[in-house]
Amino acid sequence: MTADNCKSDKNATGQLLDSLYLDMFHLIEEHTQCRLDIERTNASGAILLARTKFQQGGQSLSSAQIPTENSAEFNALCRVVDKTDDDKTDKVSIERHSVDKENGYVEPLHWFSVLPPMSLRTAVERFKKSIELVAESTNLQRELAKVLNGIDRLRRSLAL
Amino acid sequence: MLKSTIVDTRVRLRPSKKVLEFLAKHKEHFDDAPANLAQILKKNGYKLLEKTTILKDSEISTKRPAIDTKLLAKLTSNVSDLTATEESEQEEEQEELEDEKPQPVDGSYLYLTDLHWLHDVMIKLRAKDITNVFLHELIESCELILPENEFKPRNPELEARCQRLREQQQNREYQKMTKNVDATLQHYPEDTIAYQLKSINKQIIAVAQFIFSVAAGFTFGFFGVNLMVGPLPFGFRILLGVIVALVIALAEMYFLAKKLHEYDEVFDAPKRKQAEESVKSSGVQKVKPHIE
Amino acid sequence: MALHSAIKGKLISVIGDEDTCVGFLLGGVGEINKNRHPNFMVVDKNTAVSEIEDCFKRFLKRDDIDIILINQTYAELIRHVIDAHTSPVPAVLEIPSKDHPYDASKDSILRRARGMFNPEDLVR
Repeated sequence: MTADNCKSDKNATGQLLDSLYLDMFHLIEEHTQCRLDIERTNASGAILLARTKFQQGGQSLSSAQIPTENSAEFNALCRVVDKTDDDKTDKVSIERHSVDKENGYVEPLHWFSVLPPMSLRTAVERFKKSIELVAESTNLQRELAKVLNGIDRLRRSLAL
Repeated sequence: MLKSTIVDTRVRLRPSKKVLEFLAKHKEHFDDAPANLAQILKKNGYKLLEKTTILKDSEISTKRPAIDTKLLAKLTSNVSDLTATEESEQEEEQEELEDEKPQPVDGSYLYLTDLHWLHDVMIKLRAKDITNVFLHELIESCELILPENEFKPRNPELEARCQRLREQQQNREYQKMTKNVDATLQHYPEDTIAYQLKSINKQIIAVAQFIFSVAAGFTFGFFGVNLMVGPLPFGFRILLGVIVALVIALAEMYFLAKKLHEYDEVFDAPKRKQAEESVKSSGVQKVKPHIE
Repeated sequence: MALHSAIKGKLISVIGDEDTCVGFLLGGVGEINKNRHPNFMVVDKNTAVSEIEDCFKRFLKRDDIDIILINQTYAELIRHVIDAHTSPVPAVLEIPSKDHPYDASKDSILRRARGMFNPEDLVR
């Protein structure tokens, strides 16, 4: 009886490990794909930023305009919120706050110019898209980490 | 060589002998095989049976397997979490192996579709009690190959051009830095008459433009409106002229300020213009077809 | 205080070159909190590795940060710190920068995945 039990247990472990491995391959592919998407969106955003620089002179978009430790405090427009859905996996997504000067939600475009040109606006759209992708990529990375952990622990439980 | 974006995001697995031997041993038990796998077997001297049909990649289902998290938790409840030392050991091992790994043969990789197929086959085989080997036991002996970047040679013309631009910029920075050290350079660009005349000319033109458009605005308000709508009182005409001139002056002021700001930048980098011109003259690209 | 508790969700922080930072800040991830600590860091060619490392560790310690974005080139410089960080929160994402495309073989988690396999007898 116990031998039988042990065998079915081992069977279950083996099958679980198999599907974990397959899941890992899927996740790796998706993970890479997602990073590539981020790369692509970022690149097109960077080109638009470069165009803005070209049109407005080299100093129009630089780190000098970014607020530093000495500037006034302000809040982030987009935040990561947990969206745990029914299948029990932690999912994050991006929530965007509307611009609200009184409460410290400032429009970042206005650090750079009062009348932003079209290319800069499009660049902002690209980077917003990229932030969404980042959230997606985070989900995938966490899932992958979980699967890797699972594989590792299962393997060691098999070895026991 | 220049690293470029990853094109193929598929995960690859270099099959070990164990996998191939397993497949060869059980070849009579499956009656189809993915094309890629069949090719690998053939390349390594194993033969498939005649009756085995070759599957295309699209015919194999590749759904993500569902993970029974409860079972996982149950089975691993007695295993402690991974410690860092073990992992680093594993990695060292990995790196050692990397050094002596043989050059891969093209196309001799297992893809995700093949693994799915293998998974299904092994479930069937286990159900029939032909074997009790699990997929993970086979693939743990394989090597995982992550998606790799492609390498592209950089266009030599572009390289030369970038090099030249970089040098020019560095030169400019250096001159700016050493301006108040080197006596010969102290007044170099600003002191030549041609340079001064040029910059004065530009500013005079900008200011003259401003005055001219304001004057034209006033004239329009003073005479033009009077001609259009008929006789108006003199005081009103003056008021009208001043208002129109003011509006134009405001708009013009904005542009003037912007332009003068640009001149300041030119003072900062007096040689920028020259550099750009030299690039333009020599940088007329002979368009070459891309090397694929 | 009431204002602070009203804010829900966590932050994304960025360690990257000028363009990456400018871009993500334009997207609206930037924040400077009450203690004047920004959640981003612009790295240029004069930035020392120790500064990046300190900044990264500071971000790890902050509990209001959920995702840390770091350019892969800079991640390479502080690889040992990133490898040592295994907890899922905050998640460290290595993103490509404009002149270095994404390299899967450098990513910490994918390297860990590859470590799962121990090739013995390779087929040539």
